[in-house]
Amino acid sequence: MKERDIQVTVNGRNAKKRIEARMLLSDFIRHELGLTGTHVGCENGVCGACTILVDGTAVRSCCTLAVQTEGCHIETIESLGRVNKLSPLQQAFWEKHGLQCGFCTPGMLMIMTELLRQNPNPDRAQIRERLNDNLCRCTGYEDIISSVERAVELMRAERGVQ
Amino acid sequence: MKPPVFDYEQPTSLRAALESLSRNTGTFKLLAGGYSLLPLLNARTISPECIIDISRIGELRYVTEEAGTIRIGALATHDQVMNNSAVIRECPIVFEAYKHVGNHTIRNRGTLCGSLCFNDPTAEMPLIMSLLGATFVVRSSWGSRTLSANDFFKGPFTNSLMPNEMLVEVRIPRQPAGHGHSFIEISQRYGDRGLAAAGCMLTLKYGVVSDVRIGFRNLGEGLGRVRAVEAELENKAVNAAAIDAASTAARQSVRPEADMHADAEYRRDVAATLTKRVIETALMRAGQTSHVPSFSGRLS
Ligand SMILES: Cc1cc2nc3c(=O)[nH]c(=O)nc-3n(C[C@H](O)[C@H](O)[C@H](O)COP(=O)(O)OP(=O)(O)OC[C@H]3O[C@@H](n4cnc5c(N)ncnc54)[C@H](O)[C@@H]3O)c2cc1C
Ligand code: FES
Ligand code: FES
Repeated sequence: MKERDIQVTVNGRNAKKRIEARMLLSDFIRHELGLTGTHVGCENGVCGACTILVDGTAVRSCCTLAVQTEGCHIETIESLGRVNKLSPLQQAFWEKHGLQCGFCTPGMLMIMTELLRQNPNPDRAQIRERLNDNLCRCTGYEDIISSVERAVELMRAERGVQ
Repeated sequence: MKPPVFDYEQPTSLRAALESLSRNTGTFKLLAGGYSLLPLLNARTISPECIIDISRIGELRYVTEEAGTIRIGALATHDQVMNNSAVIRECPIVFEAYKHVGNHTIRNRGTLCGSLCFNDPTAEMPLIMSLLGATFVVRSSWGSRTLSANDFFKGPFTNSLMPNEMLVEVRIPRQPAGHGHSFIEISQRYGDRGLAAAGCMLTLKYGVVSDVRIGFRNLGEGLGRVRAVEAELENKAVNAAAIDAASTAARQSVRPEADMHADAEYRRDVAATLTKRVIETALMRAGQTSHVPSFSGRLS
């Protein structure tokens, strides 16, 4: 069959569509669901701009077929915060200049969301290690690392940990 | 670009997958993690008529240890294999080499068996499985056969599977107790495709090395273990002359090709240098009771 019905949960909402089997998950999210926060850079698996979470793990959405995620829980950049209420990670990227053009930022925020869930207190080396996943052509990475460190502080404060 | 149009099947059991394989007479591809296949589809390098998506076959997503043999199912992800406690304990070279396989996001979804079937000349795991003496369990709806690494791997990007067969399991036998190991890869940036890599496993007793296994990646077609290099050390007393001889043998045995990143002569030098380094590191580690790997976060 060249087409298929899929049902997924995207940022807590149910989505049901009939799509072509060849449709990339990145295109499904952007074109079918109108969630254009997820960026598409290389469509080749290399840059990581398209990274989203599927059942809690970071996935390159340009190298995944949408039909492969039937029944899965998908989280995209839109699930993090709003303009008037940034999530701690977004707030930290804003404070520490973790972005310039912002093209890589949705992917960066999603890989770091996964990291901070797995390890709420990563050290600088661990943040660097994870940053290896994605490319940024602007910041030189240092400010992204500082942003994640700042997010760790903000999240600790939120949890009431000193 | 976008993938071409194809038929899509999503078997949820091994049996259904094997039936699907024997029923399909046109061009088709199995889809596991998709991190090698989707880039090819996106670029339209390949246009199969049908994609058989095996990623939902839960029964093949395992890493288990039974009587000293580690069994890894077709859908076990890189991450699952890399962080399995039996794998870390029994064959620490796997973890060491995995640090060079793509990155965390790739290892989340990419599978060990997908990487072995794809057999990219720069991929680390085909070499590691050769060094470990792993066997490959291959099945079709007609039956099953078990292949050695030597028989499973063919030239770059090829394996010896018949169209109706799939790799269902990789088995790593028990490794010599207290063996030393080392894997080193050179790339332009950490995480990039490897320019060249070498791996070594050996056992050291009373100053004599035995069960020496040395091999290379991306240093010439079909290079797995290289007997000419291993022979310079096997059952010999370790000394600088023996290591130099192995290093010289490596320079002579590899058949690297030039590309835009490095010429063949440079790669020969790298082969000789890496050989020395992996042997020295493996010797240093041999006999130590535990090799607790640590992810130091060092970037090179
Ligand atoms: C940015 C990036 C960097 C990468 N870096 C590295 C790296 O440094 N080292 C490395 O080794 N790899 C690297 N990879 C590749 C990655 O490891 C892939 O996950 C792996 O090569 C293929 O596994 P897969 O499960 O994704 O397979 P897929 O892409 O789904 O399949 C690969 C091929 O194997 C076939 N296949 C899959 N499973 C089976 C089976 N059970 N039986 C028969 N045929 C099967 C498929 O038909 C296909 O032809 C990288 C990938 C990307 C996108
Ligand atoms: S757009 Fe998906 S990795 Fe670059
Ligand atoms: S901010 Fe421009 S690519 Fe990262």
